[in-house]
Amino acid sequence: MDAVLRAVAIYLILLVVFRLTGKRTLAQITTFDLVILLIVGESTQQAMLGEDFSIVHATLVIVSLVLLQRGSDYLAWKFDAFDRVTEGVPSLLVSDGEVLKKALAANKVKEADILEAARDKQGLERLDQIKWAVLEASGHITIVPKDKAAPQA
Amino acid sequence: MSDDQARALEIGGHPTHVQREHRLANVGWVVLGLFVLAGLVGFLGAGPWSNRTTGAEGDVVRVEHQRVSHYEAEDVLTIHVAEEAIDGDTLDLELTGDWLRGTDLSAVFPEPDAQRVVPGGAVLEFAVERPGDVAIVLSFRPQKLGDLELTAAAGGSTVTVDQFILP
Repeated sequence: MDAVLRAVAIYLILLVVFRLTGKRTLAQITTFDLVILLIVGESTQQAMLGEDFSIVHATLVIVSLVLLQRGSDYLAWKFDAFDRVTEGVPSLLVSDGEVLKKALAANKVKEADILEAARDKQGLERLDQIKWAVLEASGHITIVPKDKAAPQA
Repeated sequence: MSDDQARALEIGGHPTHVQREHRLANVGWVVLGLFVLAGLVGFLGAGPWSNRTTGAEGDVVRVEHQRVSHYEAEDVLTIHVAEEAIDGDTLDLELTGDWLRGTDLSAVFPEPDAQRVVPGGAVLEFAVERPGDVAIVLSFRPQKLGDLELTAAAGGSTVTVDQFILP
């Protein structure tokens, strides 16, 4: 019982902490982010396993975490509100070539990040070539170039 | 996706295999769910089912223990001894069984004043300050898998407990 309850507690704590720290994908993490993640992993391991290093205990922790994640995925698929709370929603960063400064500030995204995504994914050179730039819930920036955008209704 | 669609797309799809895989995955999720449920209930370690007191309230010797414990994981077992088992100011608690050979006894609280060897186990001798029921706590780490049996005897009363050690 102890193993399952510890896993649930750590899962919820990590969910809240990482949800509050905003969207950031693995592709964007810095070396120091990685070090922090490793420390988080070490600390949670201590909290979840305690002094019990048996196979059954470890299996219970692993299965509990996987089921929690699967359950969370299911609820996010079933209920939009749950999805919004746990995964977040996309944010518009550029509209018709115009940078939305407030959105950039709120999401801690720089113009340079948008331009990098534009070059990387669409081969674009300038902001005015972008119709839409969106920070997706996953943390990726997606770019819709003006020449590929659907005509306005 | 039908077999024809899979062939037309040339993605190496195999709808029958996918269907079989989904069915197997669903069974897998149920099995994993039951595994966690068993953990919560205490079939796989500490939990409501596993917490057990052998011997009724008022018995001379009662033992609080886990029915299921884990290999090399810290655990405790408490032996309650009623006042009538105390002879003057001394309590002799005899422990026997393969539990003693299958565990690493890391601490006994309170510490016994003396220990004597008996066939299959040991007698722990405690000096008792005041009359009353006492509790002896054994901290241990199981070193063997499977069923381990411990017999605790004091004042002519005997209680035998079983612990199952999981890997």
